[in-house]
Amino acid sequence: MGGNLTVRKLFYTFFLLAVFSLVGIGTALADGSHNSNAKEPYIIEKDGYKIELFFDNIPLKTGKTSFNMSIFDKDLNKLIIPIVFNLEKVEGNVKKSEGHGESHQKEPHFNISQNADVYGGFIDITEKGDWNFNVTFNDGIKVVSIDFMMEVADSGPNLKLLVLMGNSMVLSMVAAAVIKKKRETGGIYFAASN
Amino acid sequence: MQPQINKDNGKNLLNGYLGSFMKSKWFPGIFTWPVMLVFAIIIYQTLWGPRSAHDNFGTAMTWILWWPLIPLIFLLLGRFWCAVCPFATISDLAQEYFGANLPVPRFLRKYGIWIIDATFILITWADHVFGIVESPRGSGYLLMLLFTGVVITSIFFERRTWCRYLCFLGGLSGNYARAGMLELRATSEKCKACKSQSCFKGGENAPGCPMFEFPKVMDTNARCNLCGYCVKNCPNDSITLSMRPATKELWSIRKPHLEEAFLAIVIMGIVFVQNITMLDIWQPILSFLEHLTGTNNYFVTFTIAFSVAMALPILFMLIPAAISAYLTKESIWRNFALFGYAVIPLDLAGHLAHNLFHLLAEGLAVLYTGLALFGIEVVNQSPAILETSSIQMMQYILVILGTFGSIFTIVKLAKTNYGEVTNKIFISLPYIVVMIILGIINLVLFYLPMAHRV
Repeated sequence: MGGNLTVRKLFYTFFLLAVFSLVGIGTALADGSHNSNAKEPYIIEKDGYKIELFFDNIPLKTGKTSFNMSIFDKDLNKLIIPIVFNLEKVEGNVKKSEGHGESHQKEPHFNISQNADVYGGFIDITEKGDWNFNVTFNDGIKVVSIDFMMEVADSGPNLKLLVLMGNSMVLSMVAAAVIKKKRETGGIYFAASN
Repeated sequence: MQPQINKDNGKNLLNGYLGSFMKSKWFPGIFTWPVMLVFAIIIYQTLWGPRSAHDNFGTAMTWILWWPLIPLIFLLLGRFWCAVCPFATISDLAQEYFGANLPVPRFLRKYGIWIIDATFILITWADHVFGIVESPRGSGYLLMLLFTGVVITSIFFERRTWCRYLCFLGGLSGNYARAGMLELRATSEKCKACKSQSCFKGGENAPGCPMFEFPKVMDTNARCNLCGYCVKNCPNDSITLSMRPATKELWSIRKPHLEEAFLAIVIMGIVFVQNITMLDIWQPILSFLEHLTGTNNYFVTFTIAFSVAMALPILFMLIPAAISAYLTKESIWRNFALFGYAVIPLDLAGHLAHNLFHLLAEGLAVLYTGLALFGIEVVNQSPAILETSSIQMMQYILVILGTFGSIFTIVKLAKTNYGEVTNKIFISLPYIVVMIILGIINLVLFYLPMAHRV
């Protein structure tokens, strides 16, 4: 009886320790894996217009990425007009085999809104490769369409989740080692299951 | 030398090369280590490989090859997959180096199969809601989650606690193995005099049964993974391995377990969901549910459809259970559980038929994605092994065979359990009608054109 109580106490202690440690270590490591480099803008110049893009992460990676965008005219005044934003995968020359996975190809998601003179939103790209971005607006005289291409790399797995799993396994090993040690020193008695 | 014949079973397959092989140090390692290697590649591919399921070797291997083959393996070889499963090897390794070898908690022994049922249903639901199958990363996270569960369980608890009490496939594999064609048993005359009990406790040649089974009293293959440890350990050569007709074990069930029968019946609903979501009628059903609930949230609409699909076979089976229970003067749930096992042949057929489409209509994707690992791009090639019409014909044959298997099992179960009752036909007839209805629903679903997986 006493042995079972000790085991239960050990379990609860390690469970609580596990929860706190996992959250702490996991968050720290996972955040560290997404280096933010938002200070350097990505600049596109075309037809006298300049677009400044501030992405959350550069180089761009698959998954959700937030961004802010400003558009300047030739006098470097910020434009405050409605725009149309679009992005499209630049297909390679090689056509892959058909069938497997075709019905589940995911389209990219994006959302953009205007806040004063800054356009902000997110893009959610599922496939690595070259992507064509397009910004179209009417400057009062003509429709201006600006295209630019960006390479999107694979973001890899969610490290936060993997670290969380790894931590829980390590903590279990520690807990098991403590239990074994206690048993060897006669602190815990286990009835044989058979 | 005359082959040893067990009076209950057929020819003992262990009297020959197979027996020598199973007793050798090479078994089952010769299978487990290559499987581990492939598993490592799958993990790497799903987590770090292409994000598109179309190009990912890990998802192709898992969902186009392994998942469709697994019910066939259970039918032909019982739970042999469980002996070579990479998670079992991981469990053994973790236990060897870090294991505390605690006894299995009582609640796991008591409710483990319900946990398995719930996990299986939850994973199937999550697959649809979060798109696990169609996402390499999702598949990778699922595998890693299972990996973590296996490691933690094996670090704390003895033997293969995960495989026996927690693996989400355990309920499915147990049920399908009951219908399987391979049977491992001990010879009771030889076991009577045995003092060592090394089949359970372990011996010099191998550990004790990892699945907590005691072959001497084992009367089902639901939990035997054919790892061969008992064959290696038995000093009396008491263990026999024999072929039997598919579904035979189901015919003589006398002590039904509700949790096992419940899963068998629910799997029929899961097969319905798997099929319906791949058909053109799925969109109108979703639209109807969106109109009914006033939301287009897929989480809500799919959950409703999923619950209804699982509840339908349960309700179908409760009607004959009520009639049969009235005639036999026993409880509805006992009757429901007993005849619930009869759904297993149709489950197996429906499951096989559904996955046959993925295996034969998309099977070459495994080769193409495998070649891509070596930089060889396959261009403009169909992944189909067979034409859809040929696959459909095979699906119909499977469903018809499964329906007959279930009907035969109902008749046999009625005979085994109610041999003395004169109106046996009235006990089994309502179940036979339900099985024919379930068979027809399956046939209709397989008649409609399906979309591809991943």
